[in-house]
Amino acid sequence: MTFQELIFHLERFWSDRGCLIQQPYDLEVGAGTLNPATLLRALGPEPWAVAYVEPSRRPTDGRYGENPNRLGHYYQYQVLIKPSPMDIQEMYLDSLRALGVDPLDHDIRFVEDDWENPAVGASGLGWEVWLDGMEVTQFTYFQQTGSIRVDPVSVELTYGLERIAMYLQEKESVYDLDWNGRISYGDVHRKGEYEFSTYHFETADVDMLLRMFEMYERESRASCEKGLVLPGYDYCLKCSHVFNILEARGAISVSERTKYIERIRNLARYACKNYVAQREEMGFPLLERFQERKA
Amino acid sequence: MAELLLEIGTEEIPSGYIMDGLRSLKEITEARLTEARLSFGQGLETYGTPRRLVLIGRDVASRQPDAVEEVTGPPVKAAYDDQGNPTRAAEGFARKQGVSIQDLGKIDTPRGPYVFVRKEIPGLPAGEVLARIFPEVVRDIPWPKSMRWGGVGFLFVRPIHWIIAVLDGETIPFEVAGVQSGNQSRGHRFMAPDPFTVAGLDDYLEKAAKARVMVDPREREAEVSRIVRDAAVRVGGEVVLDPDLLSTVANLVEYPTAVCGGFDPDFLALPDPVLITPMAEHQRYFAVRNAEGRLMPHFVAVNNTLARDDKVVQKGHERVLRARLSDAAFFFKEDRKRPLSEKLEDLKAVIYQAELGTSFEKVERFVSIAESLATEVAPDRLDHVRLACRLAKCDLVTEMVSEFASLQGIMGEAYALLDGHPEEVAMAIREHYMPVRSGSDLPETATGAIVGIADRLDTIAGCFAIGQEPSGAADPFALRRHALAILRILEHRAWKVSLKALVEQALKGISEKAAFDREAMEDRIMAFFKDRFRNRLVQEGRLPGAVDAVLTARFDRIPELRPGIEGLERFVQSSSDVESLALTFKRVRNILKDQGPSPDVDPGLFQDKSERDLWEAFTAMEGDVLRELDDGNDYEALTRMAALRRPVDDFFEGVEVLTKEDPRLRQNRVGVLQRVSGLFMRVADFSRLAV
Repeated sequence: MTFQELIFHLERFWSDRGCLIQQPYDLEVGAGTLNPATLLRALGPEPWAVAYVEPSRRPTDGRYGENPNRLGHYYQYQVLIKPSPMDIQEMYLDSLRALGVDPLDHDIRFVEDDWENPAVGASGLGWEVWLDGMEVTQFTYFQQTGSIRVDPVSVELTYGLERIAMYLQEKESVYDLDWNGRISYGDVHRKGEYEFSTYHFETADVDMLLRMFEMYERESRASCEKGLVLPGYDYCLKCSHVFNILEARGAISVSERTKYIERIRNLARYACKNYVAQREEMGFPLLERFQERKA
Repeated sequence: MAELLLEIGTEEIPSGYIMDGLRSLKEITEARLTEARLSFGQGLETYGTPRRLVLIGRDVASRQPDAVEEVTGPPVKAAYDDQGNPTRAAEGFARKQGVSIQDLGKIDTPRGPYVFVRKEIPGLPAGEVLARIFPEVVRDIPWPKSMRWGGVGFLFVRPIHWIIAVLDGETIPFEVAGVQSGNQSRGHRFMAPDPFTVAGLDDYLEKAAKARVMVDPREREAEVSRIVRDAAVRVGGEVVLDPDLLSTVANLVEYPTAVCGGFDPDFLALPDPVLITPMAEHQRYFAVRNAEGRLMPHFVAVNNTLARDDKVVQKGHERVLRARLSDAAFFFKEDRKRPLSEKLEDLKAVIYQAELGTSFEKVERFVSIAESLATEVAPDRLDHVRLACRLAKCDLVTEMVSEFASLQGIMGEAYALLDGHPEEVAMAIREHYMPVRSGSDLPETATGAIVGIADRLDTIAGCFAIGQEPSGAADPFALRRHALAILRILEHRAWKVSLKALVEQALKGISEKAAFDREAMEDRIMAFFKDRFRNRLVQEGRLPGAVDAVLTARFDRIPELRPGIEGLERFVQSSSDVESLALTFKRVRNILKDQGPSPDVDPGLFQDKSERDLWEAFTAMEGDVLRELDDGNDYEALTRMAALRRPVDDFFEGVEVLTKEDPRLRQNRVGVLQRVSGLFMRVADFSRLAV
């Protein structure tokens, strides 16, 4: 199964189960969770079901294209269903079956992992799903996002696409992954891994980034104050990414780190609070749309 | 008597929570049953897997015993009128008690006759009682972290999917978190997922086993132990059976099966901890050693499914481990490009604490504390101590420790040995973190002990100086643990150094970074240490009065304290005189409270016989007492000193100490008392023994 076939399979699988198939967000994000289709939609009483690929940038994980397992940029497959269905574990296992992974041929385990992203005030309880010892999915029941308790609870599945592909294709290096039968993962991304590692660790302009953080923070607040939720949240995401680069660059000390994360978290909370208020004002329009979906 | 079975079926519970959860399930249910007067024989039993919490009672009463309730009502005078007819008061009481007026009786009390009713309450069937109790029990099990799911408001450790509640084959009907109780369980998630009906206990245990679920955690642990041993033996080795890993792994599966895999023998060039940490901590694999104790290029994984072809699973595990070991090997190679000592410079770029500077500066500070300590207690180790200090924090900036934080100290030791440093220096790098937990092992090497004390003193002094001392439950920098570690090490090594002097030195180093009142801070830190020591001793069962008396007088050289307290305890228990001695001493201390120092005592100024007698008694015994104290014979010293009580009492009778007559006489008398008090204070503050 090529890399793109893997994605097609997952898209088809979750589409068949009622998920809205969205496209990745058009801003730099560290995880599919930060996409407003997850972080904001998890809030409030309106049901929601979405699935999408999310290219995720993690500057500190860059390895110049030399480590066969670790990337500064990789693809997550993100699923969010709200409220979490009782049979979600079984659904997830069916998705693995759809990829040709039969649980009776392998050792699949739900190993505890309570995930959290303090920068956006999000946390949940759940597991890493292990396939013969390798973590392939983060499986989380959100308990809060934007520092606001969620009700009903959403379940989030985040598949590590490269890992699953390497397992299915029996490749030792991510760069050897067959993307479409003719082009490899390395053909597409190796140069980028090298360049972005260089940029994030060595050449990024720290002063500029620090100034950008301040500007983005101001603009996020200003937008939220003017009642614009999505632009306000966008600038929160921009702050988060700039912070990630500053960290990779070594420009943030241990004590400063906590303060920056708090600032980003406050922006997220502001946007999230406004989102919930906005939906309420709108009368929670999606409440009726999902009558057939049972908890 | 009836058989009870409760099974709460859930999504995978974190392995570390299961045993405590089962214990709570048992305790809470037993308490509720006792409250409801339902007996349960010898006690309830529990079983559990990651997907189910099971409670079993083999001998539960089938119904509550009948009860008799006696209730006293209003006085007869108020309940019946002159004609003997019942009043509103009687009617109200009868109504409230749910009985008719005819059922009311009378009882004589010291305050006269009162209305009285005796009710017979038939016991309820156990099923009814349990139907009420069980939802409460499930709700009340405490978990380190609980969650909600879907639209269900219930908080539990993980989503609940099914509940079995059966009493002698009959379902006990109740609902929790939207789940109705019944008599159906489910088997192994993959190997036997179909539901199965349960008629009773034995039926349940038999069917669960058939459905590939080992419900008994003890049996499962024994099984894991057996299969990993066998797997290791098959490759010619012996499994390294880490007990923590064993219990974790046993609670990660419902049906344990072992798979043995291998890795490239080239990886064995890495130090053992570098191999074992990724294997055990991340992957939960067991390591394998050969007959000589060397690690073999094998590992044992414990899986939950008996796969059709275990080679597939084995290959999967091997791939993951290969990736992790390659990372570790890469970090190791990077780290080995420079000797460990060169990393000291890198510590200049690491902020230890915003107000206290870099880690490099911290090392500079504690190296001088370590040097002072070593000079006093282990002068032959001075060079080792200096070197160990300089190397102790270097591994914090290695790739390996940045990736695997739990390897701090361990990597330092490994790298130091590879660089050719003396073994004791390398060991000290690892040991300076010991004891790593309250109650765990102390450093074996003097060097490790010294570096550990010095580092911790700097940490405590620094945090106090910037206003970060512990308060109530908040101790984010673990200062209490550090203080206890220092006290334990000093006692264990019998190092009679002055703790005060060491604290003073630590504060001197910090004073270059922060502004504070050195003397006041020294007092606070000493008080902090004293509290820790006091708490420990009182916890161990020592007499609080004796502990306080000794610690108040002489908290400085730690190894002297315990013998002092023991001696004082012995003295207190054997002497009939303790009360009066304490009172006398209190009197002495009170008089001396506001007195400054006095010149040497001049016997020529004595006017009364009591002054001369006291002085003679004192000077005669002083030398002996000091000698006894030097030899650690606190009890003997105390017995001698106790003989001064009468002369002191006579002294107070005979003269006016604070005489306004003549300042020289006053000074002289104060001087005598100061000498006497000084001697006593070498042992204890006796005023603390007064009731």
